[in-house]
Amino acid sequence: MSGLETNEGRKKLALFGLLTPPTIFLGVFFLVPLGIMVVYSFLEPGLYGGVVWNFYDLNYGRILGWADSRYEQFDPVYLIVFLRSVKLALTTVILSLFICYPAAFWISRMSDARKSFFLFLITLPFFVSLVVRLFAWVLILRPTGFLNQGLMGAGIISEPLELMFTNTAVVIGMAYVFIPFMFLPLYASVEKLDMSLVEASADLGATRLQTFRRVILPMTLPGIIGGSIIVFIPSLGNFIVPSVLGGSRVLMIGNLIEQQFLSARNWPFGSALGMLVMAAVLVLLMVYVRIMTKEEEYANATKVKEG
Amino acid sequence: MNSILGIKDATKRYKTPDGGTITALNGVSLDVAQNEFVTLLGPSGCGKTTLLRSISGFEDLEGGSIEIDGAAVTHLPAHKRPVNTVFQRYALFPHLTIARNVAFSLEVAGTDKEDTKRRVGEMLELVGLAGYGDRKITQLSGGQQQRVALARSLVARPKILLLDEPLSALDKNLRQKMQQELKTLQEEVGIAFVFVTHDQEEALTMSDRIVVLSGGKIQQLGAPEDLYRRPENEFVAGFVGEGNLLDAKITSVDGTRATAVLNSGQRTGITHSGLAQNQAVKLLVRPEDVEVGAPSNADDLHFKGRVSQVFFVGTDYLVHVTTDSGAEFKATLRPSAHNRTSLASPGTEISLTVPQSALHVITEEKVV
Repeated sequence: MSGLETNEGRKKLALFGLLTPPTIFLGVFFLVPLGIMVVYSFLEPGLYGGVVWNFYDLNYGRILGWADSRYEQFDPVYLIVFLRSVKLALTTVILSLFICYPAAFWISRMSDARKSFFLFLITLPFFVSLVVRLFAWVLILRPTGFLNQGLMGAGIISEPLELMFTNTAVVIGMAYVFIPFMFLPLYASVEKLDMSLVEASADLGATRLQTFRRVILPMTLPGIIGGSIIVFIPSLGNFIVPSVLGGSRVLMIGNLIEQQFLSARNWPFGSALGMLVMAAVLVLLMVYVRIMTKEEEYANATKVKEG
Repeated sequence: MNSILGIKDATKRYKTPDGGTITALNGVSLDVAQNEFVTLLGPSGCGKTTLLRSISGFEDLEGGSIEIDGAAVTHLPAHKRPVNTVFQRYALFPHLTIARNVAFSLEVAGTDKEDTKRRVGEMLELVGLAGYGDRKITQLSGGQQQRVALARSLVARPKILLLDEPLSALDKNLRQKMQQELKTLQEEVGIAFVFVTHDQEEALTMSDRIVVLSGGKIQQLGAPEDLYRRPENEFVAGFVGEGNLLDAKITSVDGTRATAVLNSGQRTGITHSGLAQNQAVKLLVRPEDVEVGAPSNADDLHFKGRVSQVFFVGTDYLVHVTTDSGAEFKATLRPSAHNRTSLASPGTEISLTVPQSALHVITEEKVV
């Protein structure tokens, strides 16, 4: 008897049919390029671009501290750029968290109709091209921009603030771009928060601060972690925001990688830098998955009880 | 008797989305003694939950005052009041173990670790969950969660324990068991319990006194027997227990004795003070006081009719009878005393007697 005549068999066939297209798509357009990057990062850069098929570990050496002294010196600048990127990405995460956390509480307490309107507003920036939006920020932040003119007009400052092409501008820009990514996971977990738990905490004598620390924060932690990771990853490798708002003064690892591929035509070194970003992201994701698995075990336990 | 809770003239109104107002509390006054079990009973929207939340500090009264143990708490925030609440769905903290849930109020108050541990242990033992401290909330059944909620709200030795329909999520058998346990627990810990429910059976079983609320007003306040036997108005008579309300008119008054005439033309003597000639009253008859057969006393009321519906309610039958004058009448038939096969079936001709002593006079109209 053929397996396809049983329910079990039909389910398997359906699963196979559903999973095959994404598997092929990701295989061709994600795993293959990734494989090329991994391989290239261990190849010798050719003199006029391209690669020489020799095993070569100095791409990593240039970044991490060993170099072939005949051709080049170890230069800590790459590590510095990497660490600066980490710092800017973390600052972006913290800034967007501070903006989104209260907003999530505020919106989650609204009536359903207003809620959907505000959620729509949060996603509204996606309707306009990213580059256009970033140039709008240039208009705001430059020495003769709206912000400086406003502050000077109000008499708060006498000289324009140097905002363009600084870390501050880049962090503001990235926080602006990634706020929807922070907001949505945060909102999901804030919305789920059972207000009777907050009441119970107050009833048991906890002050507002104690309630926040002992109940609200731990209950919304999955959203905080989720949102932070989703913002941190694209911030770390971002090159559009620093190139528009940071210029040549704020170089992030993303700009460095872009330069290696497009200007320096040193694909192996660019790949090695890319691997560095990916390693950092993978470590983060592993931590995240571990936390979420625990969360899920807990959620499953709840479901079993309710069932 | 020392009063632990004193509510005077509590008033609270809510705005509705369409611009109107709902009066949730309309001049409610109530005193609760030190170790009393008081139940706030009423249909949904009667104000019982608002009253409870005003005591716990989650609602701010518009008018009136609340005192706990002699101290005014009317505008004190919830976390500063010496009362604790058992919430309807328990509101246990899912991210904490059972022991940490119970310890919560002690931890936020800064009680030292040894003392906290000892008191949590004692509390878990009291509610029959000794040794469960390290488990997660999700590993417990509904009844067990209920006990954790009780332990959590009793561990800080509140002056009053507030319970917001805590048994409504349990199935009937467990609910009855928990009713008895709650009563026992209240006697053991010796503090006042203020219990909110819409279930009149639950209220009658557990309470020392019951406050019947409707439309934000106290309809009646009294011991369970009083409420059942001597309801002061139509609402209480209808809400607490099953009953028949017969329209009657007073024809003559002689001191506390009066004669009333029913719509059907029957006359009966009743005892009630403050009645006036020609006053319209209602006579309450509980179904279990109705007897089958012709009256032996001339003053008893007699109804003839036909059984329209029969409900088997465990020990006996509740039958609905349509009398010859067209009124609906409820009577309880005990299978041991009557021939159930002939009487407890729809369509049967039946003759019912209401002894004069079973009549309770209600002079007040339905108060809302």
